[in-house]
Amino acid sequence: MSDSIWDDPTVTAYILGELSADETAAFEKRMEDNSSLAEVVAEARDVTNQLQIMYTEDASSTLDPTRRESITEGKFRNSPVVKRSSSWRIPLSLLATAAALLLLVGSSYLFPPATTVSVESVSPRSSDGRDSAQHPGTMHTAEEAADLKMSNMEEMDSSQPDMLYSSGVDLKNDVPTDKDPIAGFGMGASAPRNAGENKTSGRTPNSSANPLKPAAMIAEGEDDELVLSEAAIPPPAPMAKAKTKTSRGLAAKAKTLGETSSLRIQTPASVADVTSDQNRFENLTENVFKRVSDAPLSTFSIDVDTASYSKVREYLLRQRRLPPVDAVRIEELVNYFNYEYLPPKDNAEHPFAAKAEIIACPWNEDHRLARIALKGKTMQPKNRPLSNLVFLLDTSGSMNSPNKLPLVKAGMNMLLSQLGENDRVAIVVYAGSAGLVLDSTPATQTRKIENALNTLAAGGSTNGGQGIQLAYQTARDNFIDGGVNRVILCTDGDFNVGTTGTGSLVRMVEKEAAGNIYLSVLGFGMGNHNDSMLEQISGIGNGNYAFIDSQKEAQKVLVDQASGTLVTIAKDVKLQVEFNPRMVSAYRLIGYENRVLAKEDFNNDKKDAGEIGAGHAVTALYELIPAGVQGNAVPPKVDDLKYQSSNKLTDAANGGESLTLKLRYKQPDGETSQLVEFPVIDNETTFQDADHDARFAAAVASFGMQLRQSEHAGDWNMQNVIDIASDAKGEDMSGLRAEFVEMAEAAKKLKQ
Amino acid sequence: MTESGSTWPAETINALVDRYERPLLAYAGRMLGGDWQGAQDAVQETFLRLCREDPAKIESRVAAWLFSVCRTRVIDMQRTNHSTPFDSSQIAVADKSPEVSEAVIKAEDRDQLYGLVEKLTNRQQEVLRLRLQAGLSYREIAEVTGLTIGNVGFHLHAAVRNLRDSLAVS
Repeated sequence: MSDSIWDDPTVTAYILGELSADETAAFEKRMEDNSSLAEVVAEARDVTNQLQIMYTEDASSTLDPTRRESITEGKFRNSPVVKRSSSWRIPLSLLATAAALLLLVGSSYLFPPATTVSVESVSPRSSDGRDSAQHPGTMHTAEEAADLKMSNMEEMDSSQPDMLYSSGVDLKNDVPTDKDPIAGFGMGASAPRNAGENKTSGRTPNSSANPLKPAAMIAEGEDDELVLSEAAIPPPAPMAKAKTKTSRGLAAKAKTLGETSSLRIQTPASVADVTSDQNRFENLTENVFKRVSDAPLSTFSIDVDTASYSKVREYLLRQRRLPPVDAVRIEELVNYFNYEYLPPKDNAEHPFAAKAEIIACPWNEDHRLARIALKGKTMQPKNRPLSNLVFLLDTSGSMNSPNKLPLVKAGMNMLLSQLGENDRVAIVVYAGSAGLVLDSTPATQTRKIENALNTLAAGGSTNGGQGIQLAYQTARDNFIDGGVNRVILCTDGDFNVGTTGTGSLVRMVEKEAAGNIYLSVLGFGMGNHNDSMLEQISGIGNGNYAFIDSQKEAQKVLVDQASGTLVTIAKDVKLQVEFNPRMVSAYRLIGYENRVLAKEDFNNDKKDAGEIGAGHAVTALYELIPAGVQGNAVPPKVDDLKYQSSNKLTDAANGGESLTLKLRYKQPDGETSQLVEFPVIDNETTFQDADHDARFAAAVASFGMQLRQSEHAGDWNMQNVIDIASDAKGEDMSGLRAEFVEMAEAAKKLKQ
Repeated sequence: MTESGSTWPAETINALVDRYERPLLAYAGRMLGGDWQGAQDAVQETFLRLCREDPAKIESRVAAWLFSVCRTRVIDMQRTNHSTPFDSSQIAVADKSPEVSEAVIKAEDRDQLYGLVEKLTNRQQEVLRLRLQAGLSYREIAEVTGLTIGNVGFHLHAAVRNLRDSLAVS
């Protein structure tokens, strides 16, 4: 019946996004009129989707390390000194034509003599004459564009004073804490670092703001690809909105550039650790042992993120190398697994169950290991509140990789299958410009959604700032009272916040979270992942951060744990542990380095903390040094105070309790926290007698410590991890624990 | 143009290798009928040539350039019976890659699909791979293969159609 329709190669061209905007529109018209054509398209799309996945999985081998070295060395033999600016970024620069640079060139028109300093530092590439010489034609265009921007800027300036102002403030605030200036251009190579640094500092002295991106912000994708992503955007109105935002954004950015000049000097010139890829990880300083007499309270925010685990897996199993130390966040490794913690009963007072126990510490026989376990109440999909989801998809050029955009689409399809007719889905893309690809649509209109999904193609550069505004706007417009209102950002982390700066982005996310629109982040692909920013904004947005590296991971996050990913059951969950000096002389929180809170924050309901989703399990481990045990690990005692006497023990200290666990949380829509508190007694459980979840969690923690080359890893090696983890696998229905053993084996080999 | 305009920054090369080594290896490996060592040679050679190339000349079409060069290299290798400038390649070393890639394709239907793809004409397999694995546009595929753009579209569609038919039968 449909055979003659199958003769038309336009079907495949349409699915693959090879048609121009006009052709696409015409084709879609034809599909509307002809249901057999629509069927053929659906069938063909099914084939291409399957192929896409197959090919993605097929392309897994990489060059041998020695060959790779020869390429880098060969390069340097030919050109020992690389003078070019280091700001090249692939594949962006592939897609970007000269226009990409010309925002910078443009900026030199915007700020003539007064800010020459800024301009020089901002665009070394335009000043080396190379590009300007090379692309005179486009240059002219940019000049015109700059003029355009100018006029827009005048209009917009007055309407957006806070935005402009906040950009300036961010710079000031963020500069001194910038731990990773090189992160901006995030490249592993050494030679041209200085040039790049000037550039970085000049443009966006803002560690996580990805300073490179603004340069490429107006990059043109390859024509066909860019056209595609725009062709995919039917409704003209939102586009117009987005466009206005673009010009406003540009104006704001231009202003930022100008303001930057005075700040440039403050940017630290030091070079932080550079990993050999473009991933950017926040520096984590490991928690140390603290004396209970000096610091009896330990306070931290929970964290249900799992991104670090999938990332470590990608390093160990795919790339076959050890992950950078800072990619390893131990709590995320431990929390990746689904422990058999009992959820609270249906009529329980609190939305999660909490439990704690103390067992022997396997890597140091004199120490004890306290495990705190929380389990959020579970939720059947049918009981899930209605969802209003806005997917914010990164379709920038850097997503044009088999393990990124195709996986995003596959993941979205999986999540859609979990939704019902009253759930709503919208899609916003951001690349060269931001646009609403799919206005909020009932989740059961799969064909419409799939059509929108399949017309997406990667191209152009990221402009996340506008995209996220549009996404929040869409979420607000379709707000469901008492439902799940969530923006889900899917990106490789090349998130250009040029229009806003990280600071104002964070504030926006914070504000929207206060208005009950949460943000979750799904990270895709390795290579240039701005890990620390994604973790930060998902935390502030009351969402979680997962890293999707495979179909399997997408299945875990978006199907098996869909409720947890979507539904928050308790927010701002904080833990405070008070140790009893009679029983414990020192303690160390394993992991949670970037979640540690001041003890005063515990009772401060204004202080943001982590969220628990439905069914999420959270585990925290403390290594304890029992009272009376001496050893190198115990930090030296400080002298007694001259003006105060040391704390006296209360009667409760003699009660045999090792610690008291206090938990604070808020209901998802609540403003006031509730307190849960209970004591924990050490029952002298040996490690062998501990249940398999406890032993497995300990093995994972040790694995993390060894990967982090922790001085606290004790006398365990990877073989111990492998032995215990294999033994404590339990049922392991999902196979995740077996995979962990595989990872530990890979790590053992790589460490040799 | 300044003198410095003729070299690639090291991190550009690194990023390009990161981005394209996988699809290039898969592409070359397939063309060489599973000779993964040969594929490694071809891809290494391709990147070495890239380093020597003037960035200004090819930066706008690096993907197509890489696959063109790799393709030419592979065809040369096939002609000269796998002789390559690298001694290491003459020693038969078991390469893990095929096992790895096989290991990842677990699902049965994926195996089945894999088998069906193998039955397509070489031309169809090549354009499919360039499109869906390497992410090249029709135009870039045309540049790499020497086909016309229309021809690329035709082969791709034919491949999709064939697969759909065989999937429907099975």
